[in-house]
Amino acid sequence: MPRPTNVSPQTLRVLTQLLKRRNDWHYGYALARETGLPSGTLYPILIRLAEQGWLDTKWTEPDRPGVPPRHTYRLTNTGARGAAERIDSRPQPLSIVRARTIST
Amino acid sequence: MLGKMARYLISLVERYADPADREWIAAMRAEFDVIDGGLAQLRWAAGALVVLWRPYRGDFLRLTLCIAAVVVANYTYPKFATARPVELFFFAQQLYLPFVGILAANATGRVLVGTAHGTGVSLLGLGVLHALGYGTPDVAGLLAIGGASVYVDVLFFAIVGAALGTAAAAVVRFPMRFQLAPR
Repeated sequence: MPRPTNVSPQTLRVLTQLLKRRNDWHYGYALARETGLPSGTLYPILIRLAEQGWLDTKWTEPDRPGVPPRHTYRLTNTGARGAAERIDSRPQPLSIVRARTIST
Repeated sequence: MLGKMARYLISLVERYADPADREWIAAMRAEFDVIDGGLAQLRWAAGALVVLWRPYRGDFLRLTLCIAAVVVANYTYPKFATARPVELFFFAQQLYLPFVGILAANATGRVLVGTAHGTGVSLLGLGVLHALGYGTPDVAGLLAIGGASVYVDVLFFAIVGAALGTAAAAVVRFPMRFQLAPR
């Protein structure tokens, strides 16, 4: 099996958040708040993920008149598979590794 | 006040955004409208500046590489830049070494091959220079006794060759944007 591409901790945070509610459409501002990432970090990540086909994007119509449409994001099937793979293969904090070693 | 600044900033970004990124800037603009508080809006708008800069970062890196290579070539070793006949040869190097790097990268698609070819051809140039009687006198004697100046020449030409070969190969290898895996 090919070794998964390394991803930054920030991208992992975004992927984790998107994967939590895999079938929901996510707003950019909500994602920024949930991941704690500033917009200047979050959007380049979203752009890259969309360019690689990991992310579906769409404009949603507003609920109320006078409110502009918003851009939303959801993982594609490829994205969800890739995200799960990378989240599983991320290096674990030393404390967890130690705890597991002790318990076994 | 902060809100006004943020609004101005994001409208500026909208105006100058790369057409390919317009949709993303519009997405950030749409989110901007649901953010409460001037400071939060300003922080959000500042993030749009990063997206504005994104398409140009590859060009900027390539330009910096090329400038750095020429600066290294011109200032590493002033001796060669002051002797007139050698100066011509030296500046000619700045034309043909990038060409060597470009050819190498075109053939193999690898930047390091450009570096290696640039270095090799530059050292060959040093040999030609010495054969013509320029540079360190009595090379054979200096090599025999381990004299330092000829090694400085070799090092200098190797650096110039590597820098120009690498810069040119990088230009070929990364023609448009740096397509990176998710970081």
